[in-house]
Amino acid sequence: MIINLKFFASLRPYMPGDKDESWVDVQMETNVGEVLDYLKVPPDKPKIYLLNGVHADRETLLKEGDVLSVFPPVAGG
Amino acid sequence: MYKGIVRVNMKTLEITHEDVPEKWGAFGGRAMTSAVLLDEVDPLCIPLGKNNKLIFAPGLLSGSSAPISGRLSVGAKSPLTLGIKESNAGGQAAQILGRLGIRAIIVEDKPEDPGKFYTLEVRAGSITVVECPELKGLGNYDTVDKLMAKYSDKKAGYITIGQAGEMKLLAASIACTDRELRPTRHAGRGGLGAVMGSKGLKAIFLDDSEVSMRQPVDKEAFRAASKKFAKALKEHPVTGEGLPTYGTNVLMNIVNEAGGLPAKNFRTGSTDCAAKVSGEVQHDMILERGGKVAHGCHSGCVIQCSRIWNDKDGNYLTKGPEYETIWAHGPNCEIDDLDAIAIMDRMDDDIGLDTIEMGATMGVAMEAGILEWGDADGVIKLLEEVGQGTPLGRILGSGAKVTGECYGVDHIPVVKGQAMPAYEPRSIMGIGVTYATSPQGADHTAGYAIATNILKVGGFVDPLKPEGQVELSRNLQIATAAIDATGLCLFVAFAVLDKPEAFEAIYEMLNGFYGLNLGPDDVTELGKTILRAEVKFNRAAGFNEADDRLPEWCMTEPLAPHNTVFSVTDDELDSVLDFV
Ligand code: SF4
Repeated sequence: MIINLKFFASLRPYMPGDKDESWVDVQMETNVGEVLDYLKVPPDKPKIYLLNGVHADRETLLKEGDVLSVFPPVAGG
Repeated sequence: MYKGIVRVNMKTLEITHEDVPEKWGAFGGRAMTSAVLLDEVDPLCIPLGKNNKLIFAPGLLSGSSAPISGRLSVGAKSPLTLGIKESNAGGQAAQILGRLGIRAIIVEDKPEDPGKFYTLEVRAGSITVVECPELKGLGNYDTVDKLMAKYSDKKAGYITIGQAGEMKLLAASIACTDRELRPTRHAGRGGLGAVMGSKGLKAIFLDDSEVSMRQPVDKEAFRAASKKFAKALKEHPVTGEGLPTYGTNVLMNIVNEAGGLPAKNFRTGSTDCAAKVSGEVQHDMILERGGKVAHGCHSGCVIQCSRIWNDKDGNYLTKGPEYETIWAHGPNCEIDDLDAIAIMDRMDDDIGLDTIEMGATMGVAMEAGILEWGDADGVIKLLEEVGQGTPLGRILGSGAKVTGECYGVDHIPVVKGQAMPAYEPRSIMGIGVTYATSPQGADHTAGYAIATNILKVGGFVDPLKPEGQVELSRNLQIATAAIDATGLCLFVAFAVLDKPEAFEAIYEMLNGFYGLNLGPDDVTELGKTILRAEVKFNRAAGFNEADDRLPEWCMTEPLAPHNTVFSVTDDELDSVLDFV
């Protein structure tokens, strides 16, 4: 199944192909953490996982067409 | 060293000095401005009339070597909200006032001739008021250039108003110069520039060249606490790395992805514009053009969220711009051009306008059909009109509410007359509680629920549900008020919320500096004392529960992409500040 993956701020270098987002083909029953491990994102770097705009965690299962946005610790105001 | 309280009468031009009365003894920053207003200003006074007062108060730690302690509070009855106002600014002013031993400058009355403008000169040995006809009609940049030629272009600070303040427009800000002596740090919210203009005060020159750093009572304890505080800020990934690298605008993508970015005048919660004006894009453009990331808005800032923006030719144009400004003039107006937004930021700073209020106003103007969505050139032309004071310019310069009402718009994003900032209350409900209930009107900084709703700082409360938002906003409003009294930048809160030692260090620095024995409960009590004063002032000014509500459409029009409405109940809202 295809998911849309977006990395932000200091996680940008981990996105394959020097882009900010990509569409990756993952197996059914894959969770958030497994996709990030596959892309060699160190597990202590991301802090916030938004799945279709809703907060998720590394255990959340993915489904076809999901948009997964991953952020390091960030803040502003 | 001065006695602490300096009163400046703009009618008689007399200056008097007083010791800090005991009742205000423990107050600085927002605690001081709100206490002076409650004690001395009739809440029913006309904000631009002679009975309003304008107060400048550095924080309790300003002027000391405590890290990041140079924030200034400016207070008055707001002509925009008609309630109490504390507007907080960076820049050098608070550090200088602190070093001069000034705890508050209270500006009173107004000149009999409304056409006259004055400069207040504040030096170590003397404080005087002089007429400054040569500054009349100038923007903040030209004003500061002329002041530097007359006074100093070195160790000094300037507080000024631009044309908007002179015209007493409701969105007028008060500018403070930064370390490079540029008028880029504004007490933006609530139209306090108009109050300064009404008093005929065009500028304040601050000179601390002959004084040194304030010294603590207990040097050792203060040094240890300051060190502990700086270490905690450096270690926290947000204050130590995220903010210096990407600045406040790192929020653009995450708030947009979370569906909480008010786009097109709060008509939808996300937009394609966001990615084009994000903190990441801004960061890369700044570096390509030889600008600066990791810049401090005042000396002693260890977080350094500020940046210097150069134009396409590599020449300085403005600071930042900050997330709020980029949102307000950008996605809120369907504008996705950072260069155009930077020009707007520069114009706002020069004319002396609150960037949040002006961006929100332009969104309302687009809603009204005054110009097309996304018309960046049109916004720049309208901002020129504000500076020139054309009839339309004066309407726009009076903010989102006035503009919307003049043009029959039914979708005006304000609470207590003040524009809502860059977070949608329907999909980030904690911030909606703060917008609704803060005595300051719609103000994200008054209780920054985004930290816990979106950024997972200080835990996590689901932004899309009403549960837990009241308690979150209440606790943040109390903590924020206390921080605003210290002179510390509110951004220390990201570390304070996660690291107990950072919170401890705050009262330990106060203890070391003043020889006190404060504990955590005293910090909470200080925050509550401030909020009590502000609520009391507002009630006497005629505010009631109905003023603590969001615009009706927040409860009735579901917002994409999550299709939620703001669903914290009225009873719950009325319980937020139940301790007052
Ligand atoms: S963190 Fe940013 S806003 Fe706060 S004092 Fe430093 S530069 Fe100014």
